[in-house]
This record gives sequence, C-alpha cells and structure tokens, in this order.
Amino acid sequence: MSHAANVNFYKASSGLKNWLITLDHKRIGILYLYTTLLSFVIGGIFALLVRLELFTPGPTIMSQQNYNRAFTLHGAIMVFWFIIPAVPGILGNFFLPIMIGAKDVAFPKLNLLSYYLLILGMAVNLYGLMAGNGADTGWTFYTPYSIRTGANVVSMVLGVFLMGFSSILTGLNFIATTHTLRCPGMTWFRMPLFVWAIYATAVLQVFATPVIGITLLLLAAERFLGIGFFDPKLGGDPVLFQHFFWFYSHPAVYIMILPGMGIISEVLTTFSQKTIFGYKAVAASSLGLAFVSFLVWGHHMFTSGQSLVANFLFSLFTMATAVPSAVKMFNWVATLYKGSISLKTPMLFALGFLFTFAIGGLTGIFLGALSIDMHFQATYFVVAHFHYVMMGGTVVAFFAGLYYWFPKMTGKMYNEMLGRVNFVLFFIGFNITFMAQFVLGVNGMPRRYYDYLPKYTGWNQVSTVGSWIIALSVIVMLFNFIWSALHGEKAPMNPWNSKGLEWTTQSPPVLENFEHTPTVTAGPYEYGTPVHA
Amino acid sequence: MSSLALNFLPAASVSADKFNLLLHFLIVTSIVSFVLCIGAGFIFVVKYRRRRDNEHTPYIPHNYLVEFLSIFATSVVVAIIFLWGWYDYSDFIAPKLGEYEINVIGQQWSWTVQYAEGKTLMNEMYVPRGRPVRVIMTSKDVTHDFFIPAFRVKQDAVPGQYTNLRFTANKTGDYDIFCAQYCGGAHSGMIGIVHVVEPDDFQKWLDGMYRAPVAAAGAAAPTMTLAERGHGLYQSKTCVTCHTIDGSRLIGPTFKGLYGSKVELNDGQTVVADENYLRESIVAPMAKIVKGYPPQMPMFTGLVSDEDINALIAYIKTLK
Repeated sequence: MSHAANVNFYKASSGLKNWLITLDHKRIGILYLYTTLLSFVIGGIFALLVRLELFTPGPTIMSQQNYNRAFTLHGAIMVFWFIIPAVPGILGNFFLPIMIGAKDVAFPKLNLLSYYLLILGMAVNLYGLMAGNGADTGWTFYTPYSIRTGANVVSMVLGVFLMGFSSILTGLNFIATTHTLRCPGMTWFRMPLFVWAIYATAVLQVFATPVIGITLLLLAAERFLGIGFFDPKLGGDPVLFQHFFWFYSHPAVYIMILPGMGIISEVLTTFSQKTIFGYKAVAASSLGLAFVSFLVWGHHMFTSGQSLVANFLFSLFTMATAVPSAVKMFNWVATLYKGSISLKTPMLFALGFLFTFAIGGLTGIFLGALSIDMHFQATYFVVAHFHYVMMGGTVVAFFAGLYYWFPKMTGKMYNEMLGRVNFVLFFIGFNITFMAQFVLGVNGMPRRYYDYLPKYTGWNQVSTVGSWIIALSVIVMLFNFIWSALHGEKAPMNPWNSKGLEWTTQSPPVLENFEHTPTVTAGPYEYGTPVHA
Repeated sequence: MSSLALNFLPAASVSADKFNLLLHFLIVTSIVSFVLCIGAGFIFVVKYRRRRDNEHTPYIPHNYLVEFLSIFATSVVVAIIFLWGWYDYSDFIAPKLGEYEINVIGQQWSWTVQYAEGKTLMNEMYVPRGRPVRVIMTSKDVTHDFFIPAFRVKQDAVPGQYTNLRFTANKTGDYDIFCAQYCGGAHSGMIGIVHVVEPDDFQKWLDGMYRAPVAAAGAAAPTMTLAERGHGLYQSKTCVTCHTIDGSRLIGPTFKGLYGSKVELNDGQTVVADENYLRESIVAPMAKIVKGYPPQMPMFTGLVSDEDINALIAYIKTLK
C-alpha cells in the first residue's frame, strides 16, 4: 500500500469495480453521498406533488388513492432512505476516521457490507411500497389499517429492518473505531464534537434498531401463522404496534438529529474562530439526549387511549429532553460571543440552523404538554414541528456540513455566490412552507388530508408556494456542487483556517488519510489561545 | 371563504378556553426565549463580524454560573408547562357529575352516533350546551380518531375496545368533526358536524320536536322537491364520501347515469339498476358487489327511513 499512500484517494485506483468493492471509508462515504442525495431528490419530488395537490381543496392533480400513495412514499423515502443514513453514511464515514487521526474504520469490510445492506433494504422496502396497488399506509404502517389495505407490510418492515441492520453495523464500526483507532494524543476529551455526536448516534443505532426486528417477527408470525398480536380480529391489540413502532422510531429521530448537531459545533467554531463554549456540556448533552430518547416514545400516542400513568410519565420525560437541547442552543450562541465571525455559506446554514431548530424545539414543548397535544396531535402543527426539527434541523445541518467539507471531499472550492443564493432561497422557502402549516394546525386541519374545508385554502396555498422556493434552492445547490466539483478552484489544505485535524491533510486526502500518523497535543477548538495555554 | 387570518377557529368548550390560556402562555414564553437566545446570536453576528483575517478571539471554554443559570431557568419553565398541561389534561379526561353519554362508532369512512333515547345519526351529533358529555367510542374496522377542533379535544377510536372523549360545550353553534387518525381511502371525507344547542332544544330534539335554525338535511322544508331532499341526504348521509355525481371514480361507483343502467357484478351477473337494486344497495350493500369495487359500503339499515330512501332514489334518477 505504501506506493499509493501519498496519492489522493480518487487517484489511488480507477474503474467502476474499484469503487463498488472499495474498502476505503472515504469512497464508501462518496457511495452513500450519491445514494442518499438521489433519495432526497426522489422524496422531494413526492413532497412537491403532495403540496401541489393541496393547492386547492378537492382533486387538483391526482386521485385520492394516488395522494395517499404519494405522501407514503415521501415519508418513507425521506426518513428511511435519506435522513437516517445520510449524515452518518456520508460525513461520518468520510470524516470520523480522519478526525481522530485513523487510517480507516476498524472493520472496512463490514463498512462495505453496511452500504450494500442499505441498498438491499431499500430494494425490499421499495418492493413493499410498490407491490399490489402500492402502499397507502403512511410511513408509520399503523395496524390494523396496514394489514387490511392489502399493503405488503411485511416487506416494508423487512426493508426498514435491513436498512436498520445496516445502521447497526455502521454504528458498531464507529464505536469500535472511536475506541481503538484514535491517534497518539487523541484523548476522549480532545475528540471533536462531531465525533462525539456520531458516537452517541452509533450507540442509539445499536440499541434501538433490534426492536424493529422484533416487530417484524411478530408481524410475520401474525400474517403467516395467524397468531394475533396487532389485529383485533385475531385477539391482538392494534395500539401495541404503535408502541413497537415508536420504540424504534423515536430514538431514530435522535439518530437523525444528533449527527447534525455535531456538524453545527464544527462549523460554528471554525467560522467564529472561537473555542466551543462548554465542550463537556455539549458532549454530555449528546449522550443525555441519546439516553432519554428511549423513554419518550409514548408521546406519539397521547390520544391513543394508553393509560394515564403512561401519559404522565411520557409527558414528563419529553419535557426533560428540552433541557439538554436548550444547553446545546445556549452553548452554540455563547460560542459566537466575541468571535471573529465570517458569513461563508456553511456558517449561514449553521446560523439558519440555530433559528429553525430553535422553533422546532420550542414547538416540541407545546406538543409535550398533554392538554395542548389533545388538540395538536395529528394536525398540521405536528407536521410543521417535525419538519422544523428534521428539515430545519438535520437537513440544514447536513447542507452546512456538505458546504463545509466540500473542499476537503472534492479538492475544489464551491461557488460562494451560488452558495449564498442557495441559503437565502432555502431559508425563505422553508419558513414560508412550514410557518403556514403551524397556522393550519392551530386552526385544526388534520394531517394526511387529501381534501380540506375551504377555510383552509389560503394557508395551504402559501405553503405550496413556499415548497417551490425550496425546490429552486435545492436545484441551485446541486448545480453548485456538480459545477464546482468539475470546474471549481483548487482547494487549499485548510481554506477556513480551522483547527480540526481533518484540515491538516491534503484536499482531497491521501489514501491513508495522512502521510504520517499525526500526534495530537491539544483539543479540537483551540482558537484564540496558544496551544498548551 | 378562505383567508390568511392567524386564528379562525372558534372556541366552544370549557377545555377550549383552558387550552387557549395555556397556548397563549406557551406562545409568549416561546417568543421571549426565542428572542433572548436567537436575538443574542444575531447581535453577536453583527457586532463580532470578521473585519480582517487572523483577528484575535478570547478563549472562553465555559462559565459555570451562566451554564447553571440557563439550565436552571429552562428546567423551571418546562416544569411549569408540564404541570400545567398535566393539570388541564387530567381535568379534560376526568369523569364529571351528570355526564350525558353518547356512543360513537367509527368505520371507513363515517361516524355513527347513537343516543340512549334511540336516535341514531351519521356524521352528525347534537349536544346540550353546558352539560358534560362523555363520548364512548369504538371502531368497526381500523383505528380512527374523533376530533372536534372547536372543543380542542380528540381521541382514537380503536377496534376491539372502548375509549372515552369528554367535553362540556359552552357555546351554541355548529362545529366540525374530523377524523384525525389516518384510515386510508376517504380519510379526509370522514368529517361531520356537531350541533351545540340549548338544553331545552336538546330535549326537544330528543323528542323529535326540534327544528334546526339552519335547515339541516333530513328536516326538509315543505317546498323542497323529493329530489332536492335527496340531494341534501346525499351529503348528510355521507354518500358523497365515496360516490361522485360527475362520473369520476371514488371508492364506490358514480351515481351519474346509474339509474336504469346495466351493472356488472363481481360474480359475473348483470343487473339493471332499478328502484329495488338501489334500495337493496343502501340497506344491504353486501348483497351485490359491483365488479372492480371493494366490498366497503356500510349498512344503512335503521340509519335512513323509507322516506329518505325514496328521496335518494329520486335524486339519483335526476343524475343523467
């Protein structure tokens, strides 16, 4: 390998085969990049169709059946094919080893297997979504509807489980890598917060995902052996499925958001040239959120008829998640204090994240309050809230991360002007789209409605117009990335003057990441102070 | 009809008033915290924007006092919100003295409302103003959710079990009922009206003596033709949810051109859609299933009178 060690990883070998069976964590990261960005575009097209249908009450562009399929595909693709795998898959794979000074992940072959399990899971999930008349269950597959509609719920859940298994293996790999492959001097408290966030995510993936496997077994037993677990006709309890589903899918929400939070810590420190305020508090709050996320699944079910005690406890624990989330917000804002703030595109997205994630978090407190949830549950208020968290949180952080590390990943600079246009369009479009949905929710419009009363028309039209602005911003972004990767200026080793370890190697990195294994002597955010201060 | 008002939802129950109080507290608290936190960030961005490269920045790794105070303040505020939400919620769901009980059954895609005194309604509910009401509900097929936005309450209707929804309406008027748990197909058509009336009027209604101020379907004005009455029933008895009158396909076959046409059934037979066929399809819909359509239609036995059926048939005859 030594002959190739000093060549950048794109040039180390060539040919499609060398990409498809690569064991290089950076190349696997690039495979995830193509896969998940394509999923994002497909899921986005379904979102645009859903919004277009809702431009007027009654039929607009599609039938009721097709609308139900469209929002099912939008939700399932965005959650399972895009948000869960995107940040760990792309940025975690590419940067976790580099940020701790390793040559690769602990188990490179397992890493490649994880990628193909994702592809297999997507295929099985897609089969379930398309089989028969096409699934119209919503991404939550609630029984007994999902059983009666003739949807192939077993293959849908099998697909989700295979994708989840892929993230278990990725999680194990990241945990092992973080424990065993840190370079000399990289103590736990010198690790970048992105690494902490990916580590916390990995723990969640390993513990939460098996539950979806159990659910799958029970569904299969019900379907093929006639043992009643969920179907009341067989003596089962349909609410039990909701418990199982959310026992996985609520921690999965934190699988989606924690890596994004890690990105924000990296970007804010770099572009304000300040050390992070409260490093240990931010790291601990990642682990705290990961832990408490296992205790709040029942807040999706306050109106399902579950017991009072359950509602009391789930509401209490849900409120508890506000504290570590708020700690992070305060620490990020405090990091800006007396900084040297540069408003490059990654920083614009990171600041935009603070704005939109704050709204997502605060409206989560509304929904956690039991009496308020009696009205807001299953209305557009919920839809707006989780888009503020998932899109305004994770996706905005993901965009920040893509722009931030674009020079390192491609060796080229992106176009700053287009990047800023991208941000402004996205920020305006996003807030128009989902602010309108908060208003619809407050006024009682339920989600998953093909048709609605005429009084809701105005805000639905505002929301739909907003979705077009988001679409435009994504087109600008994709154009920027493709054009810049081909024709951009050559990127220097450290264009942002960052203190992160990944910026001490070439852009793009050499095959084994560093020409010589680095030795770390200070923390990751030692701005404004001499080392060993 | 539609507007861009921020709040166009009436509040018509005791719980709605309590809900609004906490909601306003939440909105004010949120805006204050948002402005404090994000506003500080905005000021920092403007004040400390980079003026030249390699500016010196101070090294501030933490400040325990600031961190402790922010955690403490956040915990106090969320604790208040939690307790307030729990307190109101316990009140919403607690059994009340002198409750009036109404049974509701959800099914794809309509609500059946049953009164102890014998009345049965579809997608329509009468409740007395000022008296606590307990809705006891279940579902025939999949999980639904009985949601009255103007009362700020909802509850899942789960097959195989009973769940309860409680409210005390405090303003007379007509308010929307929605299904808020996705149930496939015509989920968004599973809507209805709750009429809040004065207790005296409620008693009159139970006795069959009450005339709604707005001519509700079924209570036809004498000047209406039979077909006009049928048109009202087409909407109030929820035929509209699954059957169009313009020839397009929904869950069930369209009514356009139905009368007198030849209908092919799923067992290969063909029947002519005459009065007897239409009547049977309403009271015993499983007897003959049209080819290519699901056996989905609920039985309307006891929900429509013979007079109603005549009116509906008269209406369908006009749809050529």
